[in-house]
Amino acid sequence: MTPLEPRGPVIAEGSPLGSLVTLPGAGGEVSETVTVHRSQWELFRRRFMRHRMALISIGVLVLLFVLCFGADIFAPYEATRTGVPQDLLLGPVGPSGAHWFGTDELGRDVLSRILYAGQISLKIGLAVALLSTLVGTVVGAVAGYMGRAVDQGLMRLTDLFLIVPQIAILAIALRVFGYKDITVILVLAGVFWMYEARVVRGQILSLKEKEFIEAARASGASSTRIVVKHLLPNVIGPIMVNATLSVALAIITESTLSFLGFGVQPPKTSWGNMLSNAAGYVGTPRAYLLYFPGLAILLTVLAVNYLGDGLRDAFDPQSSH
Amino acid sequence: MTSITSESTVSPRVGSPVLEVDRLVKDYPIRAGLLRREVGRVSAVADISFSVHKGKTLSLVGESGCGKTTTGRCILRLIEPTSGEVRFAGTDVMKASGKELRALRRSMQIVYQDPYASLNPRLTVGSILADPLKVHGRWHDGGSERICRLLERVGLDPKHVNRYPHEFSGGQRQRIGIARALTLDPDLIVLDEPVSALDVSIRAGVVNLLEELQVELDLAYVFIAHDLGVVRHVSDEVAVMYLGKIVEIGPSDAVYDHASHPYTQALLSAVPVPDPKVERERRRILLEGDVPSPVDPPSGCRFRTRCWKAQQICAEEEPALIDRGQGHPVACHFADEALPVS
Repeated sequence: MTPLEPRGPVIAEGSPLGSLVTLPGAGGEVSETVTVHRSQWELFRRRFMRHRMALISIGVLVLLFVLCFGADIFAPYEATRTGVPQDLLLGPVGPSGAHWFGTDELGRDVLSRILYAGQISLKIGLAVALLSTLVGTVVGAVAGYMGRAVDQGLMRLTDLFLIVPQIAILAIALRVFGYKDITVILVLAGVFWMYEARVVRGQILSLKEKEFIEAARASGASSTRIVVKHLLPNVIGPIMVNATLSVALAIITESTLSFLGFGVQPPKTSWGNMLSNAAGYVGTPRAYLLYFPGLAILLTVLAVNYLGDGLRDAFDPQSSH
Repeated sequence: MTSITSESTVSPRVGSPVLEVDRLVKDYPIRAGLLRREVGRVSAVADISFSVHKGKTLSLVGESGCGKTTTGRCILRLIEPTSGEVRFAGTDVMKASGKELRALRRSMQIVYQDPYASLNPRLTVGSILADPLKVHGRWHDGGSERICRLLERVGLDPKHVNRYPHEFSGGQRQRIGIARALTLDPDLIVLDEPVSALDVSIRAGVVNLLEELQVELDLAYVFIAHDLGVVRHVSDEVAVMYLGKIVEIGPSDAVYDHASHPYTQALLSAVPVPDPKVERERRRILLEGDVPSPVDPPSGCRFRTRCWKAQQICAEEEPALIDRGQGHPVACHFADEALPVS
């Protein structure tokens, strides 16, 4: 036990803890005992920086973004108004020096198409995950923390969204509003947030009974502060897992839309779209048409996954990293 | 913050108490069926009154489920009581609006029993202690300096501000909990079994710290416990609770040396004596049966179902908590210091 520094008389003077705060005239004496009080954010960043896979994943994601959105520069065959140039005489050939990823039935360079398709898939995948996580977390946290009628109301709404056939909603929304990336993002986020909401609500329900939450209330903290500062950091693990899953789910679901004729329309394409178009080539020499878009999705999802892992561990001071 | 207290340390403390609890009642409704109709009430705290003076300790003792903890939470209005009044320094806590309540909570704090559940695992010790200061806009007023002083005062190394709760032992965590309660300069702290979860070997250290702080800062304590040995050591006054009611209340020595309620006598007789010879020979009062359900408490005296003195009157008339010649209030028709012959 470190004894109180040799300033006993100060406390005996009787002014309650104020005396513990009052600095003596000489500042030098104090600065020795004071250690740097690091902010939560700084500690968070330190833990994140130690997570090597998360850092690599950020690199991979940035690279994917640069390549895809700079496709006009990086793609070996620049797209025109009608998409990546066709060469019907060439037809589908496997990977070669001229076409690293080969060409498709119309003789289009697969690598170029993947880069252009990534513009749509990356945008939709990440935006949907972000948006649905945000909405789901807010709904779940409010329902779980407020309880009673608010909880009942929000959870019945969540159930309603869960039971309505999602493809039908998507199709109707796209019919009504027409195809735009933003419409797809909004609609997909609109049918994905419920899973996040239910997970977050469940966690908050059990956490809010903990004594440290009551202690925060006893110190006068507002409800918003309790939820944001004391509850949500404890739920970040499950939130991250769900968010990661919804990236992959959004990319795939977008392709279902395209397949039904509501999503991206030719000559534009997306990874999911390329994948479903090539589905028939399984087991044939043209299976490479399947591999490359699949690989692109896999790479993105893996990177997001590791990134989520890194964030989760950075939030959890007890993680082994 | 508060006025200079040097005069009050010299003169005996008289005047109005810092905390007054008046006819406090807390019932929990039991709901059942499709319409969530109320089918009964659990009587957790039934009409209790007491007061605590500045710089003094009142202990609430009793077995599990007797309403001690509920009382503590009601004082801070962390639980909304069913009825009754709690006045803190003259202000009615129950009628305080949101803003007034926040201000009141600066002066009333709580230390919890479980040092593992009461600290947020995701926040550093520094952030845990900083939070109350930030909430009340006092962080920029030398907050980080203050945290270091507090850590030092409760016997922890201020260099550990950036550590997380899981890096500390139970005793150290409890000291963090105490430091948190002190951040806002409270006048009253509710100590909810502050040492029950700790190893016996480190209890003394925490109890001594609490006593030192009480003297230095002129704190009033409501000490909730079931360890009667510790209670005698720290209390100025003791209130014995049974099934939501105070059965005996008075100055610590009076209650311990002149216990007059059968329940108090039974409780005290259960305290082990360190001397094995005395321990072997002393008489213990063994109560029969269990604590009755608080859903349907016995009529009249709530203790009568287990009392060796119970008579007809005990079932018909609830004994008032009054002085029956013992020098302190006892809620028993047959209050008597004499122990039963067995």
